[in-house]
This record gives sequence, structure tokens and C-alpha cells, in this order.
Amino acid sequence: MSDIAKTLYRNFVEEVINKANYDLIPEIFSEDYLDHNAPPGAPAGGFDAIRAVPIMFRGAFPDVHFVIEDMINQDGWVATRVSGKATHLGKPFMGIEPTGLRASWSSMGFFRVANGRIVEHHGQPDLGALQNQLTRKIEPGSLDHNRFIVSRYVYATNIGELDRFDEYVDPGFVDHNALPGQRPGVDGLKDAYRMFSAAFSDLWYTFEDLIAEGDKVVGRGVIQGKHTGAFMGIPASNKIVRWTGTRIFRVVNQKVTDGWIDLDMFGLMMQLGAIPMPGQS
Amino acid sequence: MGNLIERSVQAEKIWAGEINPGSDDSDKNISLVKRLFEEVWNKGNLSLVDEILAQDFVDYNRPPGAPDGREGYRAGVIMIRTAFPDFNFSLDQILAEDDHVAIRLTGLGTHKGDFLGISPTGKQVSLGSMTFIRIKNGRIAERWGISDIPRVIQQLQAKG
Repeated sequence: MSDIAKTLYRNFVEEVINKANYDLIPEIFSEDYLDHNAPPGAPAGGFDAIRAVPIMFRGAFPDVHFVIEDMINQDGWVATRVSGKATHLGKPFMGIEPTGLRASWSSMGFFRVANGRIVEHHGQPDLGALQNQLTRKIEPGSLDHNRFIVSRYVYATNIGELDRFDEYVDPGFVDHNALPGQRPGVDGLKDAYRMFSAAFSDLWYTFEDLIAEGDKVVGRGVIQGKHTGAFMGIPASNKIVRWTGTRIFRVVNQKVTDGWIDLDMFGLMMQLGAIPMPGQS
Repeated sequence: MGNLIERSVQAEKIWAGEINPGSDDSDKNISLVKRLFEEVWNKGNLSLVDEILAQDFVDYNRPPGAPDGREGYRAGVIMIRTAFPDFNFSLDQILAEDDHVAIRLTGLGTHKGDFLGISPTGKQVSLGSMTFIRIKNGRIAERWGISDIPRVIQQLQAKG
């Protein structure tokens, strides 16, 4: 009995939270699971309540990773203490727009297990510590600041507020992978985004890694969107497509001055059906 | 501890896996932790701190700027009890295994003194809290804890 509770919780952290393996939820939690401390606006019961929390964290922190520090087991309950590490690269969290900052915090919970499944939970994450780290003062010109500028610029593209570019992008921006015929400077950059967002709705670029050194910031990420408009002569397919993109930025005087981007166009074209998938004729 | 029949029933339950046998110290450890909250926190009996906490007590989640050890722990109790003189923790749940104890608490108090720069509001607030404790030689040696301070600030700053 005691080992079951710990094993279930370990699977929840290592598979569901750390690997986003949401398919395992019904093997760990009971269908009538109850969360006594569900975040505001999130469902309090059932599989949806379990999914909501890691999905929310992963959306804001794509690299979120938890380590179990302690588990105490008694009478069908297990008390857990974990530490989390994550980089704020995705969606806003607690009203804070992405900063590119790394944070670490701890979280505690009490889980009850019955009939081989987790049935209820009380949770106490240290959101105060997390909030303090995500809003800490960043020294201008530091590597953290360069990551902050890049994070905010890419976030502005994600929410489609191209006017916010002016705060983070140099007017003389040089696009080293410009589209054929693209205008120079920040205006040409905006044109390139408009071209993509006209073809793909809900376009969202998520960094999974963001590394700063010298005046450069390097990001590896994934783009997702719905193909609702013509793209390079391919009519709308309404498919949700996902492709990878690696980007390098140069930041000078707190503005992005240069950009390099390498998109997996081959993978995108395969998903759109313009290039046959391997094994298809 | 109890008569023969009670002990047999206990043994059967342990054997069936219905209850955790724990070490012999589980009950003692739980009493020690209860004493910390009921005496030190709820009654402000600070003289017991040295008796309950080990001399080399470590608090991994002490408030920013607070000293380490027993002195820092006392400072934390004083800070809360000065801001909320009627502060009372209810012990919602306690689990013990080996030399570890986990506690789930709800604190209630009336805001009558300065708290983190907020002047007294007279409001009653509730504080959700969880604590993990390791016990060594009958005293608390290490402590990890999370208290929902942001929610207390929210309650104090709420209109009305």
C-alpha cells in the first residue's frame, strides 16, 4: 500500500509533468479526483483538473522540470515535497509576460490514494518565490536582459502586436534570411510576419531553449499554427501544423539589430501535403 | 501501549498493509511537532523553542533577511504574532514516516499590527501552509515550509 502511493506520485511527476505524457493520467488518478487547491479558473475535479496544471505550467515554462525531494507516507496518504526549475519563455504567468528568466521554487502536496489511484489532493506551491524571481530587476545590458528583449519581441509576434516591435527591434534591423523581395529594416520584418500570419492562424512560436552569450542570443523552438490561408501557392488545408525553427539574434544597445532563422520548411511542406511523406508514392 | 487484543488488532492491520507501522518514534515525532505549533505558535511560548529545535536547526525556507537557526525561527513567530496577536494554526493533517513529519496547516488571525509594511486593517485573514520536518535525537533538526503569504497580502489589500 505505502509503495503504491509513492509510485503513483513518482509517475505523475516524472511522466506527466516532466515529459508531458498526459495519456498516463487515467492510470495514476481516479476519474472522480478532487483538487482542493485548484488554481482560479481551473476545473477542480476529474482528469481535466489534473491536465490543467501541467498544461498551464508547460505553456508558460516549456522546459519545466520537477525533482522529488521527499515523500512521507502514512495511512493511504503521501505528503510530497518537490523542487521545480523552469525558464519563462512561453505564455504569461500570473499576469507576467514572458521574461526569458530562469526560476526555481518548491511545492508541497498531500495526496490520498484509494484503490490504486490518487483520489484527492491539497497543494501548496511557493508561487510567491516564483513571482519574485520572474519580476526581479534585470540589469540593463546583461545577458539576462538580452534574453528578456528577445523573449518580449517574440511574444509580441505571437500575440500579433507588431507595433510593440519598436520597443525591442532596431529600425535598421538586418534580416539575414530575408524573403525574396523583403523590404529592408523593421518594416520588412513586419511584412514577413504578416505573410506567415495570413496563411496560418493562431501562429505561435515557443522557445524550448534560449541561450545568451556576448551580444548574441540563440533560440531553439517550435512553431504551431492552423493553415487557414494560401501559403506559397498551397491553398488552405485547415490542418494544424507544427514545425521547428532555430534562431539567432544580435542585441546591441537593448535592441535586436540582426536576425538569422532556419525553419524546417521541408517538414512544413510535408505536413501541408506539398511534398510526399517518406514511404508514400 | 494498550492491551493484548488492541496490540493484535494493530499488528493485523500493519500486516494487511492498512496502516503504516512507522518507527517507534513516529508518535513521539508527531507529539513534538504538535507541541511546536500548539505551544510556540498558538500560545507564543517562545521559551520552548530551544527545547523543541535542535541547536544546529536549519530552516531552508526562512523569510528573506532572517537569521538562521533558532533565533531566525523565533523572529518568524514574533513577526506573525505581532501582526496577528490572536494567530492560531489549526493542524489539518499530520503524516509521519521514519524521521520525517509533514503537516498541513491553516492559520487564522486578526491583523492588528504592521505586517510587511501594511498598517493594521483589523481584517481576519487565513494562511494556508505546509511544512516538512526532520527530527534528530528528539529535536527538530531541519525544516522546509511554504506559506501562502501572497494570498494573505491579497486579503489585506482587498477592498471592503
